[in-house]
Amino acid sequence: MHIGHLYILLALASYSSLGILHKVAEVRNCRALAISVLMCGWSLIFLLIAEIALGKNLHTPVQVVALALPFGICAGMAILALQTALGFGNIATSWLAVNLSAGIPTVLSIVLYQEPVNKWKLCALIAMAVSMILLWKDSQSRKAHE
Amino acid sequence: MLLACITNGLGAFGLKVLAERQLTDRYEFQYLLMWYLGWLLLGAVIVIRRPFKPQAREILIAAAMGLCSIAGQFFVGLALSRAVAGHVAFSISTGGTLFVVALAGILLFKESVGPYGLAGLVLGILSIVVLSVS
Repeated sequence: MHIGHLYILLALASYSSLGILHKVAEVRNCRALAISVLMCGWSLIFLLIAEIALGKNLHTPVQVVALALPFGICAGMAILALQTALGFGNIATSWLAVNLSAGIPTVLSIVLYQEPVNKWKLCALIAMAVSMILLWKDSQSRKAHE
Repeated sequence: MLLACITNGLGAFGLKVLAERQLTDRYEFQYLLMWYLGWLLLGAVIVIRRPFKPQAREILIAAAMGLCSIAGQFFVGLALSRAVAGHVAFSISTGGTLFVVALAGILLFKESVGPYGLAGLVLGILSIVVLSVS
């Protein structure tokens, strides 16, 4: 096996474990706020260790700080909202809904940076919107059954 | 869920802005560090208003989640640096993850997914794979 493919499998295992751990946290009655804040704190620690181990320069220009902070706040809101939403829905569909957000940077890149749109990209974006509607319909029908 | 979806998408867009400003090569690590600091800042503001004492299981599960999050990014980066094409790396790491998590939800946590949900899952996974490839 090519070493690059092994790394992809490890990435797959890491991200899958992350999704499953979100559900484990919900099942074990962990509070959404605690999980969001602690996860961020731990991630920062691991990232700092990696940066120091790799000998990276920690000097950060103001323009990078000003760019990163608001987007980081958005990400924090996303994790908090996801962990809260898991109390009301499935991990199978919630994890997909969060990952469908890949459509947002794609649309913003097209609108703000005039990135070219091919037919496949367009089909994927339409399919994402339809998928979100189907997930919403699923949650509605489950509520009606309850 | 809609809020999680929108804010997650916006959170990821910062890397694109960084790339457009041609700062990715020099400051990607620093950007990520500040990105997490922004997240921590939001958490700190909420914790000041609603203080809480973390429980041992929350600390442990959150540590595992943080490790998985960083490890995922690290391994994708390593794969890309070992000549794995971006469309292969992203479609497997994202599409594959969705499939594994959906399967775990149904098999491990006994979640029931109706026909609409199942159709949404299949279409959603396909759309993300196509977006990664296109």
